[in-house]
Amino acid sequence: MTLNLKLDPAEEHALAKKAQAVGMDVAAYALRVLRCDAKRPSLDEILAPVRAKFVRDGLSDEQVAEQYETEKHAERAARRGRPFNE
Amino acid sequence: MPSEPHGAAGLLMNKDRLVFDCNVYLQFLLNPRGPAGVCVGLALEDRVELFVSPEVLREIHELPLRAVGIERGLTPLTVGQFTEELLNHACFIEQFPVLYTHPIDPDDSFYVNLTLAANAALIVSNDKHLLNLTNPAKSWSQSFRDQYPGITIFRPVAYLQYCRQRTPTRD
Repeated sequence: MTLNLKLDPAEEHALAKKAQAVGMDVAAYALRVLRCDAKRPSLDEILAPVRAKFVRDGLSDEQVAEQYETEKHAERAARRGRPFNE
Repeated sequence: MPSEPHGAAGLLMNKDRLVFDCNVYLQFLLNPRGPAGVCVGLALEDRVELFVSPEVLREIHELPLRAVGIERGLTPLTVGQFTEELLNHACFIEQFPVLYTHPIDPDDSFYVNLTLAANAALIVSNDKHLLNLTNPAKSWSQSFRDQYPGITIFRPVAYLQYCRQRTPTRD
């Protein structure tokens, strides 16, 4: 497969700088970046076990947010030495 | 991203400039199909202009250290992969002035100050201290509303409704 890629000047400059830093020409460097990216799992793949567990646990978004907020505010109140006064 | 069960806008005319609270990122990590998940998905698809700062990243990186993150199975590795991806799409503002201090929870001030530095107008959050900044029933936040009437703070589901209301119909 052959790709023709268009980069704007700023992107080209940034890529050339990175290629130069590792002693490669731009095309070879771009190919290396693409190959590295192709080998990496996607974010969805990385998060799949966590998301499957979330479904298994039967929690809602709201429950998770509430747990996070309660934990965070308790920690902040403890650090301040007093509860939040609303 | 999967389909958008919560109906994110398909055709936003102008990209919103916004800031997400850490709890929105947490919800995305666990459930990309919920309202918060769809909001972060919009940023990862470059359909909104998202702004982050070192403080935001620190809160995200602390998620696996909290009980909520440990119980859900989040690890530094998975969260690190996420923030790496996030930084491919978000605008990172490293330093900005402290123009506002939250009267109830000063630790939340950076969300407002980041919003101001980004010239953004929207914060999406589930945090009552942030949400109450725009709640007229709260007298303690009157000065915020007087000073920054252009800033809106939405829960994720309300932000998606706001997006839908602005989506042009195809009639």
